[in-house]
Amino acid sequence: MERRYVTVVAKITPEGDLFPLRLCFDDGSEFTISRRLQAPQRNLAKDGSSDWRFSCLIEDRPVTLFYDAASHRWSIEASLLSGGLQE
Amino acid sequence: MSRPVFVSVILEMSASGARHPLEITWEDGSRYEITRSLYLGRRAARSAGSGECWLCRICGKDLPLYYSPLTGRWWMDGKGDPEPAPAAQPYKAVKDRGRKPAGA
Amino acid sequence: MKDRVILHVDQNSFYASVEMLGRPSLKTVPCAVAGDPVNRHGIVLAKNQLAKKTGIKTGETIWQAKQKCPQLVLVPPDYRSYLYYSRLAREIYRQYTDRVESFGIDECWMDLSDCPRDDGFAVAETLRSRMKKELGLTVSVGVSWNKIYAKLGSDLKKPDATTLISRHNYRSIVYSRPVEDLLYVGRATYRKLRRVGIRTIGQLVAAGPDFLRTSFGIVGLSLYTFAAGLDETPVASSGREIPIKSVGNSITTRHDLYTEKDIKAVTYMLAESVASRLRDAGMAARTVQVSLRDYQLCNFERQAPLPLASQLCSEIAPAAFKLIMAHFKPGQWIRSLGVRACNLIPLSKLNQESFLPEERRRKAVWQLENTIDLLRGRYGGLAVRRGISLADRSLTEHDIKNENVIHPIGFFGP
Repeated sequence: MERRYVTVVAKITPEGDLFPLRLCFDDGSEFTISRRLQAPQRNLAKDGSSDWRFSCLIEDRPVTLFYDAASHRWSIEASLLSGGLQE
Repeated sequence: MSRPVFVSVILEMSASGARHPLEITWEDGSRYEITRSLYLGRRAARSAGSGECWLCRICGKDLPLYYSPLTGRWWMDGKGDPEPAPAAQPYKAVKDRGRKPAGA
Repeated sequence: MKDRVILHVDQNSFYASVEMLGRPSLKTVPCAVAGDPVNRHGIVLAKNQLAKKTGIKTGETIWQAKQKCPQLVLVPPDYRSYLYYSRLAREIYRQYTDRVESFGIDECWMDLSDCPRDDGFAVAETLRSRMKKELGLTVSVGVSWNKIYAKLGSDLKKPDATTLISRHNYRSIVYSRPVEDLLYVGRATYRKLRRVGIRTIGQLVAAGPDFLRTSFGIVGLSLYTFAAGLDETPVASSGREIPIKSVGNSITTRHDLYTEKDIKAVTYMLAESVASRLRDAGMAARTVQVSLRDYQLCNFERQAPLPLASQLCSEIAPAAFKLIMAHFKPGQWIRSLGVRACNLIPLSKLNQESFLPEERRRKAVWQLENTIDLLRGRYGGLAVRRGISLADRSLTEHDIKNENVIHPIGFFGP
């Protein structure tokens, strides 16, 4: 499952809770994230590292965003990029 | 005197890992646009704590905005006094170490 | 052979300083960081300048401290913060050399000998300034050609100062110091030295290696080496972190444990902390060990293998509980209890997950326990608790993970 890094505009509440708001791509296209479906879930990778999984609704489609708290980078499954989201 | 004011932040988190704060919401609900920002690295705050610091231009002034990776919270140096020191707690001696709870 | 350039960096009143950094108003009152002030016998872990002035010493009980200063404000320890700042400090030190050796949570040696800049004093001054500017904390630094003198140096001026012990001044600075200032001279050694008339480091050196070896054996030779500035122990590289061999937590509870319910509550509380720490470290345990002190004040340990390598409380806790109950009879009671995860394996070395229903259930439990970690990380260890722990709150109102203490590995090796 290949992943691609993406730019995300997020809101962080005064308590430190993270809500992704918009997903932005290199070509300038943007997608609004209508809401976060549940509390972020820790995701375990095969090499033992972990990051956080955010289940979100993007224009009524459930999409999973991955967030690495150490590098502050967001990624999504590569398959979503080719033909997935950008329709 | 300065006190820490925790703020809400709209943050652009780029695919390369760079972060740019775009807007903050103050404790009274007012929203302020950040027209430009400069990452300064770690700094001890004037109010309290230390963290990663961005110098942000808000309404024509350059103000520090701090982020603590420890708590995940963002704050700024607010005006006014910090909350006062807590009062000393009365000391309660530990009694009855060998007390058997009822029904034991 | 050119002399080495060794620094010893010591955070001033570390725990108290971190607390005052987060809450500056604590600087205006005498305050101490102490374990669980309300429910249990706690001890003073750190104190601020105002508390120090009233004569309070680290290691005293809260009762003793309150005698000296009734208005003392007590703050519970927040080990997560202390570990965080400790790591940040080391990251700064590592920008100057990779030869950074931790000695506990708040002290480090640095070896600058291989660095282009060989002015240890200048680096020490830069470090002091950066610690204040970037972290908001102060340090005392000792600069010398060996670890022992460097540590002696950092002890001399507190807070926020640099002390240089060089070939030119070491006799005047070091030799007049009392012998108990020397690293690893504890109460017993101090008394032995006093009995032979040795009170200062200078007198220790004057006694000579032969006399000391005859009187105290091989330890005597070490004492001489340390006192005379002859120690050549290298500063370890920080390239490899010390691998974790086991993760455990133990507690002496507020009242003795008589019922199965109480024992279970405390076991689960300890196992939760152990499991959470295993997850943080990316390790899984293959063996569970329990230790307990029973009603006859006998200490013993028992261990058992886990069917599957685990980092989950829901697997570790029942295994621990079973081990404990095998040794518990009605009418007896338990005074203190410990749960330890041993035989650790990094997660990356485990076999890939299968899709068996059993594995999916395990994965769901892993998700749940990680969400709890997240909530606890944000809102404190007591934000989420198992139902069982609410039965007797006096037993389980402990934020075990954040009260976890790390002790330095001894100078002579682990």
